[in-house]
Amino acid sequence: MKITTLPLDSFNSLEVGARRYFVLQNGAKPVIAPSECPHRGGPLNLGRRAACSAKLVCPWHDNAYPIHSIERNALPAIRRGDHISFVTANEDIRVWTEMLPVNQHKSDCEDEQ
Amino acid sequence: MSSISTLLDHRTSPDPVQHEQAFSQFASHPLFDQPQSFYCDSPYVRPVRPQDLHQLDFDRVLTQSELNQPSHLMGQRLLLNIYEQDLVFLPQQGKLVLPEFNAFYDEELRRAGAMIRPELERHVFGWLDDAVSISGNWDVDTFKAYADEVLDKIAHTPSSLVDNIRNSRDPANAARFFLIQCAGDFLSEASAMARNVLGNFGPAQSELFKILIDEYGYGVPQKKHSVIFESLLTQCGLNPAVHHYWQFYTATSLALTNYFHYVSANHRHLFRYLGALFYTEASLALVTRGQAEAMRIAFGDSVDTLYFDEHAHIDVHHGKMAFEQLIRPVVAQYGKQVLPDIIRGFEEFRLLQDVADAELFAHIAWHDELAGWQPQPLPAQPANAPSHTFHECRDDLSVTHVHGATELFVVDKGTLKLVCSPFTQLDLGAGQHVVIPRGMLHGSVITAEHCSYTVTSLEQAA
Ligand SMILES: [Fe+2]
Ligand SMILES: [Fe+2]
Ligand SMILES: [Fe+2]
Repeated sequence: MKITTLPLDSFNSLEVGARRYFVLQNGAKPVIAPSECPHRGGPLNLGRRAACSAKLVCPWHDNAYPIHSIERNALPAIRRGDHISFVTANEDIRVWTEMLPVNQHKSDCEDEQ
Repeated sequence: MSSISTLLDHRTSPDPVQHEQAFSQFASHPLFDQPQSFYCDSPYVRPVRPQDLHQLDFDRVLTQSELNQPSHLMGQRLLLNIYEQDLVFLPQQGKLVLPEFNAFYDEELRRAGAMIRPELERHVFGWLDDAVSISGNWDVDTFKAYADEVLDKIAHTPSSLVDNIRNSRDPANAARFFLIQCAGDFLSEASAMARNVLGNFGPAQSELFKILIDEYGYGVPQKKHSVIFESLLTQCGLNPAVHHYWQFYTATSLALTNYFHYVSANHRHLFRYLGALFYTEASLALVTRGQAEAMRIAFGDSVDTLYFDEHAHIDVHHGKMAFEQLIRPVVAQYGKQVLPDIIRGFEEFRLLQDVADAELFAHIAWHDELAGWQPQPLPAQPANAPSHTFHECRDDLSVTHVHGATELFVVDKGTLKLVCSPFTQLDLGAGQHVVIPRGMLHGSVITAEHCSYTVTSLEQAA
């Protein structure tokens, strides 16, 4: 296994082996969540928030996933101050030096549930 | 969900008047009020400076950058007094003053302490919620891989304690100041652990009990870790009585002891406790080598480093037991749901240890600076800086404290002794001054019939 530590403000997406992840803010807690929608592989990183930000809606087919269920497949991570460490298998890790598009807009609580 | 936010959610707002009364009742108790000396001869005498209470706000959560503020020191002192009412202390050298004993364990005092405890815990430990967060799909093996990496780094990083003591102007006194920081915890070592061994939680309970037995020396006083530490203190020219140096504990040293009480006094935090226990046992196995070396640098090769050598040995076992016999089986039985709190405890205690080390080293550096003190012309003062003049009489003693801003301390008349550690004391006369950096522990005692001094903030008011 491999531990990687990065400054939180230095990236918002990465690739581990063939899987892509993006940084999803769950309240104060950053989650390194899989970018691929479990339905047809849509870009969850571009999804919008719904249900007071408790859900993420995939832009392709409007499936809404509770953030806590997305987190179940997220990389095991610890944020310590402004750094985050995560554990992966011994696969190649690619971190984009440029911030990739991620939709982090919070939703109003009047949204459709 | 984090425990602090849970506390917040369920915080029953106590009657504010009653609450304030409980604060002043506890803090102003004669045992915690004005002492005769900078050294505490009784295990029940633990001054907290109740006169500062009205300036401090415990109703908010400190941030990590505010740990050098006066309310952090007072909050930690109060908390240790509250937690330690659950422990048994009897003087080992001095006489037992029965009224002090009765007063320390008094029911009314305990009730007042119990009332203010949650607010104090939130005030001094709430920042950890902001500092650390755990996310994603952890299992016990990913946690092990993470912990191994952290511990490996510690094993391969040169000891900063060794560097700080070696490079100090006075390695022996720097080492003594380090030992004083340990004394608050080590002289009643593993007391918080004992809070966790009662009840019924299966085989893990018996594992924890075995660790406790090692800490307590298998019923043989000379093997008890606290007793081994007492003889180290004596050897290094320090007084081994419990809390003799109470006034010289830094706030973040107190935080290390208090954190273990905090997560052990309320068993809702049991899983955080397990993580913190794993970190402390596994890391002590590594850092005690450096601590033994620091003792030899300070006191020569003849110093008996048994206390640290014992831990370099037994904590290899304790670290392994904490992980393999406590954490792994507990996660196997109760599921991954308990892992976030375990990891959080590991990371929180690691952070607290780093913060305490930094505060210790900052104090050693300041003591070194003061050792070279010479009368100097007054530095420039910011325009309309707030200043206060105090008039005191011979032997008036100001219990050690810290200031939230860097201050200029000028003696106007008479003489006094500025006490920054048992080994760093300055005799100052009229016209002499010293700059006291924010967060640096100090007290004073008047050495003339009358003395006045003026304290001016050197930080621009916001
Ligand atoms: Fe020990
Ligand atoms: Fe131990
Ligand atoms: Fe002061």
